[in-house]
Amino acid sequence: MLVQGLSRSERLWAFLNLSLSFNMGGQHMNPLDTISGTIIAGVILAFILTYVIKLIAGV
Amino acid sequence: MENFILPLDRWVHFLAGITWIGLLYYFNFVQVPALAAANADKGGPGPAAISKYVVPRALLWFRWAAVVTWLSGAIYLHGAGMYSLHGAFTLGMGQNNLALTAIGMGAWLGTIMLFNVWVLIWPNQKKVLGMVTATDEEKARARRVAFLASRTNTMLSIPMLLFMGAAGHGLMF
Repeated sequence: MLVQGLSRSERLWAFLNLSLSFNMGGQHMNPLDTISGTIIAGVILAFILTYVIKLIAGV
Repeated sequence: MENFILPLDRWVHFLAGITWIGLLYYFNFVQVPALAAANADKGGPGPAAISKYVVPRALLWFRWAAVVTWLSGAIYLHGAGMYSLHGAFTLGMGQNNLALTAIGMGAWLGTIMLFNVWVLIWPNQKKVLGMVTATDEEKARARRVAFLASRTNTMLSIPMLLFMGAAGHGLMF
């Protein structure tokens, strides 16, 4: 397995790159062109916005 | 109102929301790959039947479920004592209330998604389906805009559902 020996963050980064690489042969580099890219982008956005609302709510 | 109307409204919000997002996931996870496969299958039956019989019905339920979801959500925010429409859409700033900020973020994401449905997806799908006249070039562009708006909504639905649930049940991280 390619992911053996990688840390959790390295695996996440590799997964993200893999998702984006699905578009390399096509006309677009938009992660929304693939289902996996869309889901990964949504999860990343969820993490970012979670920290934003914690900041706004002051918790 | 709190005892009967609001729980009924919340129920409608869930039912309409599931219809809306369920059809959104159907479009993105099932229909788009299926139409691509049908177009690629030269000896197969092709995508015509899906485009003629399935897509218009799915879009009808999709766009009106979006309206019902948003309206019932707005009524709930206005009527429920722990929330307020103004407080939610100002993200509960200065109120030190995570539930209000979380539901507000969900409400903003849902509002952007409603905008995408009625301003980007539906007008462009009408061109793709031939319900309004358009050249082949306009249809190709409309197909791309509708696709990206639909994918954007799928992406936004992930944090939206997290925050809608977090308002009542807390965040997981």
